[in-house]
Amino acid sequence: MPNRIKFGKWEAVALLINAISTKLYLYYPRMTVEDAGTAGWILSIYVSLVTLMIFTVLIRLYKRFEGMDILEVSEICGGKVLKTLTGLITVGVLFYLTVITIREFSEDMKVISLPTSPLSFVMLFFIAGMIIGGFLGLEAIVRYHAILVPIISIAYILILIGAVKLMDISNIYPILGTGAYDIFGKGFFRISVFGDILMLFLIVPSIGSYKNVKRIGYTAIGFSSVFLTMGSLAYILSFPYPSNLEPFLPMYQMTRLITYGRFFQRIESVFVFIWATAALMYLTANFYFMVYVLSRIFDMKYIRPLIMPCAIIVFSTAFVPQNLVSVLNIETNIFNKLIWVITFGYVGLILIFANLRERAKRRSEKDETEA
Amino acid sequence: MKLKHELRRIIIVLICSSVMLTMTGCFDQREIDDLAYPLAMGIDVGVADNLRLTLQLAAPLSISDGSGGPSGGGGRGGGGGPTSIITVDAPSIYSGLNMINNIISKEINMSHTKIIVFSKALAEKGVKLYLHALHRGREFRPDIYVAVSTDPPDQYLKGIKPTLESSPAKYYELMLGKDFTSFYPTVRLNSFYFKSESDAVEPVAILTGLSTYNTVDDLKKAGSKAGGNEIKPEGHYEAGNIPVVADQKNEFMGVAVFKHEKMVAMMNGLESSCMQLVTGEYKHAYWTLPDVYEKDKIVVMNIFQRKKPVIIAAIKNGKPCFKINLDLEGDFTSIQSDINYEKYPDVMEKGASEMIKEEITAMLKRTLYEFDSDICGFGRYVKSKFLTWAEWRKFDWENQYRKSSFEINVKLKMRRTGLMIRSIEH
Repeated sequence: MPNRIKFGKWEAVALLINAISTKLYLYYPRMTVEDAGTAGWILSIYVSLVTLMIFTVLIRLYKRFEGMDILEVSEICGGKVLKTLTGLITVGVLFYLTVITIREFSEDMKVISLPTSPLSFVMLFFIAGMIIGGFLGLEAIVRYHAILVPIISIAYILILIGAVKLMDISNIYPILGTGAYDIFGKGFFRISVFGDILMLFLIVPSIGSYKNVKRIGYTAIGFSSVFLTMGSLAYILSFPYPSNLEPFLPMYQMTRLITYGRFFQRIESVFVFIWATAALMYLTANFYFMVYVLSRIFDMKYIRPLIMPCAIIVFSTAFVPQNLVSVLNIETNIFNKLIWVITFGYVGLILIFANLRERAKRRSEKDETEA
Repeated sequence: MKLKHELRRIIIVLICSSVMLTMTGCFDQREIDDLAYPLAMGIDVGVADNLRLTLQLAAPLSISDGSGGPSGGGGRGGGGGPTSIITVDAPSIYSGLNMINNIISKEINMSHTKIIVFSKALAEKGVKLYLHALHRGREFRPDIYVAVSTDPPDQYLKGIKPTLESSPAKYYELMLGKDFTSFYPTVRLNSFYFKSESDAVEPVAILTGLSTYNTVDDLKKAGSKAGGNEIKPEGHYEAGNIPVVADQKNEFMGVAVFKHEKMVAMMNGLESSCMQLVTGEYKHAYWTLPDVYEKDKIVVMNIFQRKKPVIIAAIKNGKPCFKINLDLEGDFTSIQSDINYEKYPDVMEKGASEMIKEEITAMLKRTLYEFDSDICGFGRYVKSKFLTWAEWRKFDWENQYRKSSFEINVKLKMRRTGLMIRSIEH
């Protein structure tokens, strides 16, 4: 972390909540319905519980590496080679996430508000935000998160309250949706939704003690689980199955239905504002970490020289997917099914081997002292 | 160093200023005055092409200067009225809009459309082909009202001449979103669409039409065979045949019943009230009930739905059974006989409950045996009896509905008696 910037617990929690929960505005409620039908909300609870369990294991394994990020742990485990490999994998994940998300947000924005603007023009605003965020640095990014995430959360909760009128309890039946196997079997892979927790393992040096890391992780996963489950449940209650498989922006379309009398109508304009804010913050954070990890791989002192080239690469690559549907397919069917292999699987393996290495090292040190 | 700092500040100011000046009118900049806003859209079977599309366009300047009064009228094809009607035969909704854009100077924008009126002919043929287009379109609001007109929409929209509002948009909002009549349901595009896609409930639309009566003499045609002596409750009419003479020619009354995307029948105002009592959408309305003791006289009650209906579903011997519990309360608004029902309301309560129960039973029987369409959404209650979607689909609700049986319990309690506390017998 540049100059080992320190920030508070709330800043870190806000950063992670936004990173995990941004999916809510894009596809998450529909994705749960695609997976489990009317039981999408059960899937959401199940995935949250599994993630909490896996995180408990990971964080225990982390105990010995207080104040170290995942790159430093990798170095302990496998030297420079493993550090570089971990860095490249992390950069790959973050790059992929940034590219897909910027394309998706820009496409969505184009469909909703700017139908005649060219995609590149819409994307330019997000790229500009990312570049500015990159130059301002991590401290500015997390402070923005600390201020705006509570506002976004309140607006989100107000939207859900506004939608209560539309909800029909019979929409959650049949209670097991498309079946128990879809929820508890195939549903396991959806722990990938919490893949953004990877950021926590990058900001460890800025947070401080192990206790803080643990607390931040649990709080972020807890809050995000509640938001994701609330979003999924509200969506299922508001839109009957199977019609709820159709909307491409579930939360937006839910907001469009909210009307209170002749005065409170077209609430989606508020939604677009909070949605764009959350997107911009998420993209900025992702992009920053991507550039930061890249600079760490090459042992660069400053990250600024990398910002512009990386932004251009992200901008260009974002045009590769052919259309919005292919972007959504990549996001829901590839990323959100497989990314757990890296976030939880690969990170877990590194931690296990690092622990074994550390134990072996201590044992040999002990043997040497005794000898 | 200081110079560098100053230069940096100047550059930032220049960038900000140029962004502010150039980004104000981006690609999507559109002046409100450059757009034409249809308030109503009529869809009918076309002659020259598949579809006949009629738009009732708002003329904002006429609305703002108040020329839309009784004399202003709507649907005069322009020339100073608050609305202008344009009809085109086209292969689809969007191609129709495309063609209209070749005729009028302003770009059509559907974001202020309040109502979509399907013709009866098209509704009977099926509306699915057009529903998807409406649901997919960004400009079509999900809260647009959906109606079926007994008259061709091009004629119907010409007949809409709001007399109490200068803005036709306000007329639609007040007319179709009101709580104090239950003779037609409030049906919005989103619920209509969801129901048409659902296998647990069937859609309905508001029934509307143009009045057939121009003078009070014409009302003779509407009277009962017994002349003016026989009482015909006000709910027994459908849009188009209400015995009313008004400047405003359009009227809303009853329900257009659909099975999937096809209209299969019409229900009158009273049946609409009964349907809403069962679905829980009913608010309150006046009910004309025969006097229990003096059959030639009536008692009018304002009946409220105190609680949402409690519907308990069960499957007995493979057949769906429903227990419907309605909790109503009412106020006396008129007692034509001098019987002191205020003191002994039980008799009227029982009489009214029985009557409401009979009307609901009759309505439900029509849905079972005549329409075979679950418009009250009983399927939503049966769904809870199944664990998975596959089991529910296997049950095949669509073909099970007609086997349903109902047990209806109506609890009606009189609460208030208006400004009179008793009726004095003469």
